[in-house]
Amino acid sequence: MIRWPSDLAAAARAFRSAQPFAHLVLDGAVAPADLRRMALAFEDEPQLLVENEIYLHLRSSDPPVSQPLRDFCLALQASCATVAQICGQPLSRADGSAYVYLPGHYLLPHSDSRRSEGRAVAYAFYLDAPEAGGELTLFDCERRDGEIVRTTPLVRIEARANRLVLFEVHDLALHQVCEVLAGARTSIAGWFYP
Amino acid sequence: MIRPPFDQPEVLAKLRPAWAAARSLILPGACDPGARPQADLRDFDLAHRGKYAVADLRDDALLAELRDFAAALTGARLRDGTLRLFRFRRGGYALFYDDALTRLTTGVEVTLDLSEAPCGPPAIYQQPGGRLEIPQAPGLVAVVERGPSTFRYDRYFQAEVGDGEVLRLRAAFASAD
Repeated sequence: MIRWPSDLAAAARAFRSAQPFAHLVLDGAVAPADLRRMALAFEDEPQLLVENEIYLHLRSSDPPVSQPLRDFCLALQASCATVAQICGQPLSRADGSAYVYLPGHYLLPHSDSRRSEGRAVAYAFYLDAPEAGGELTLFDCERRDGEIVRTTPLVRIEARANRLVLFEVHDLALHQVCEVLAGARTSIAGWFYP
Repeated sequence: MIRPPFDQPEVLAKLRPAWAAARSLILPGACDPGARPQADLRDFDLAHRGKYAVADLRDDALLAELRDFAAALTGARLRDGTLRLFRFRRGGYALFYDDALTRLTTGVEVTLDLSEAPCGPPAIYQQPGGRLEIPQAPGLVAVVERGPSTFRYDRYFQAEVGDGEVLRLRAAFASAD
């Protein structure tokens, strides 16, 4: 289902060399027919409005209940060996939920690193682009004596339909989803684990 | 800065049972938002902590007024504390981690909303027992007991805030007991 790059070694080089931390943007990640099926499934996917200090958005269960969205999560699960090659670390499983960001929704800067959970690589797959906002921003961080003392937004990745983003998870891999200003941002996102 | 009748110790003493029950109290209209102190605000922007402008104030008279107010309300003996003015605009926020690095771990925190107009999201205190939302309303005063497991965040200021800005004056007093 997922159309991974044919040259995995080149993808791995691109992943490793990306700044401010390792990441890869893969456009046209699924066939157009699969994308249409997933987009249709989104309309029936149950979502809850969730909020805490970091985020405000709609989120499905993990995994989603709609079959096309579950199929995508299963395809990611089946791709662990491929993603491991790209990201240069052993991966054995993946999880994921469906997200909808409406105008005013956001995900503030944070790291996904949770030692107890063992997240290794994060992913986000976009099904539909908002009309304004909703970009994924990656921050460059400077650390001194164990504390982050400077953060600079360095890369801004548009949430384009059929785009898959992979990025590594660690304490300095700060990222955010900018506030959606118009339209809806729909995605499936989660993590790969060792 | 505290408005009548909340500047009267006997009035505050009557509110003490409500304080004792909740260990927090929200008093709409209890301060004069037009009496905001002069402050040299500096921008603070660390993505993992927050984005706002802040000033540490050295105003002994104001600090004493707020300490006496908090002591009369809570019945606690309080020591001199700190006074900080925060300004939030569109895109602003402050996370738990920012609070964790700057907070008073045990005592009382008084927040005065000195904004000109209601335009922003609430501030939120979270502790194991639950969560307390402090609405954004000019003139509102919130008094909250802070313990080691109490943390605060200022919710993200969405685009709908427009050109508005929110001023929160926070005084933190440690217990003298």
